[in-house]
Amino acid sequence: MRNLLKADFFSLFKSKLTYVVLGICAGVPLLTLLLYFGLNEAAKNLSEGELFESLFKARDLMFSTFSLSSNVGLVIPIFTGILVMADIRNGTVRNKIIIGKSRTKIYFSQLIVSVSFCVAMSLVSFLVMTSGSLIFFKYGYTFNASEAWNFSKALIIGVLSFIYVATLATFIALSTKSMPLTIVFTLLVVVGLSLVCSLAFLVPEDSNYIYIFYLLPTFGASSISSSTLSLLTGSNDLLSNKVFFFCLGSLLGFSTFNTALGIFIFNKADLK
Amino acid sequence: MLVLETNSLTKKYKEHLAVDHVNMHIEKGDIYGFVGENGAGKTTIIRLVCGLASPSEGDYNLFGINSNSFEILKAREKVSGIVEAVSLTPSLTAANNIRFQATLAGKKLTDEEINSLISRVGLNPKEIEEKKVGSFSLGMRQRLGIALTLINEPEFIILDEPMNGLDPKGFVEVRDTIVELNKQGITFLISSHILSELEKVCTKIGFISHGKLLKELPIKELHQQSKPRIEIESKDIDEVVKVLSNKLGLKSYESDGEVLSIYDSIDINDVMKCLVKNSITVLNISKKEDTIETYYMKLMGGNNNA
Repeated sequence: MRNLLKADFFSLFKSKLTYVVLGICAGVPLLTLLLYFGLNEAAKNLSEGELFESLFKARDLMFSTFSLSSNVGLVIPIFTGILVMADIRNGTVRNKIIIGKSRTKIYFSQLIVSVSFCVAMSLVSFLVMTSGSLIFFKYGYTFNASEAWNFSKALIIGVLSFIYVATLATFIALSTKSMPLTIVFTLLVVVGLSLVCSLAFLVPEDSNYIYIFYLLPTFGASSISSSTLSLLTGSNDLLSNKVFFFCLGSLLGFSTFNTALGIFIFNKADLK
Repeated sequence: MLVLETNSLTKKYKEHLAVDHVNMHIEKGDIYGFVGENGAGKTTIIRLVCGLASPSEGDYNLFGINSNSFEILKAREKVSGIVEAVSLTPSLTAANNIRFQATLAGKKLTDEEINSLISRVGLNPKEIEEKKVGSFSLGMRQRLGIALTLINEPEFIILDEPMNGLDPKGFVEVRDTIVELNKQGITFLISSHILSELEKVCTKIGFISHGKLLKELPIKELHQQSKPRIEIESKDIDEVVKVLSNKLGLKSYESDGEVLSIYDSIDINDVMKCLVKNSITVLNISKKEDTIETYYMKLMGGNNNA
């Protein structure tokens, strides 16, 4: 397993694409920030001396990077798919099997690399957005112990959501062995589920139906990346504790399910 | 000792029987040549043995370990190979492809060792130092692929069409490398369309058609069966037979009415002199010996496209 991981990370670090993608993940939030800054300045000028409150709060912008259906959220499934598929496309997965590497270990190694890459992409994007938004805008909330917990919950769910995307992309890549299918299916599932999550607005919070939404693996990311949601719930919380634990369970459950099913299919599959 | 033994190995794709109860035997030290037409099942058998596909029926023993045993992975550590196409990362240089494969095999190679491996397969390390493998010709990729198979110090190398894309110089170099490695104790399974090349290196041949192993025999036995002969093409074969029987004591021969095949050990010059003396018109006369190709053609009943 160690040798597989070393080889897969060697391939990742030696690929120019890795650095290009990380550059994109840093560039997209930077451009978004500049756009928001410009909008804010324009609004300030329009207010003509009246007391102006910034259009954006740094915290809301920070967590917008965890949106799965826009910006970096769309880049991540595409490049995770390309990364995982490289082994199949180049045929290097054959070399691993021929010299006696177990398929389960090959799968886990690919999964660890793709999860690491996903986490790296999301963190680069988050860090750029965080530092930039704190320079241009105010945090917007009192940062006390409760806010620190709130912040941590959102960060955990945000990163776990991208890990879920990595497990999904790895599962589809190693099951279908097709790059177009991997990218299309991953995007369809992630964007589709995110759109479904947006319908949660229509369901009263005291209705039992809301739990169906809580259990969707994209609900957490949709909640934390949308400041509108927190406004609608009338709370400063990005995620209530109840929702946090539901989302945590859902993300871990779906990620485990993707991995278990992926390993099962990959072990049975004939490889060309 | 048997390196590979398949027991009624079968692979079905829906209704298509790609491999049909194959029992093949490769002994330590063999260079086993796999001969068959396109779609005969050669690559499917190789894929089964390499663990890339699972048999529908039957199994195989690799270094005495059954394919259904968990220990098979240990046996595979002694195997290396190229299946269908050389597997390389096109965005990496040759040296980095070697480093990748070495890391997989748990080996750390120095730059000198990498260069020596590259030189060993006829590539110039200096010339390709900066080149990405994606820009390599098919022949260069093939050579690099062979270099990769040597990294884990295998005891058994499986090469599916290793001569593909190679120029005549490349043929000779790869052939020499195979023979040299075989002398060091490495067993080979090679499938190739270029039967004349197989004949030059193989110690054993397996003929396969429509998923069935028709025959496997040592190359020495094949040569013994190849029957050196003189073939004479004439419009009057009966007259040729009559004259040669009377003058040279012809005994062992076959004729299809147009071509006479003589298996007696008679000098071809004596035959020609005799026919000229008797004013018999000969369209063609030559010495013939069966090659793998002709043997295969006969085995297949004259129809093949290998």
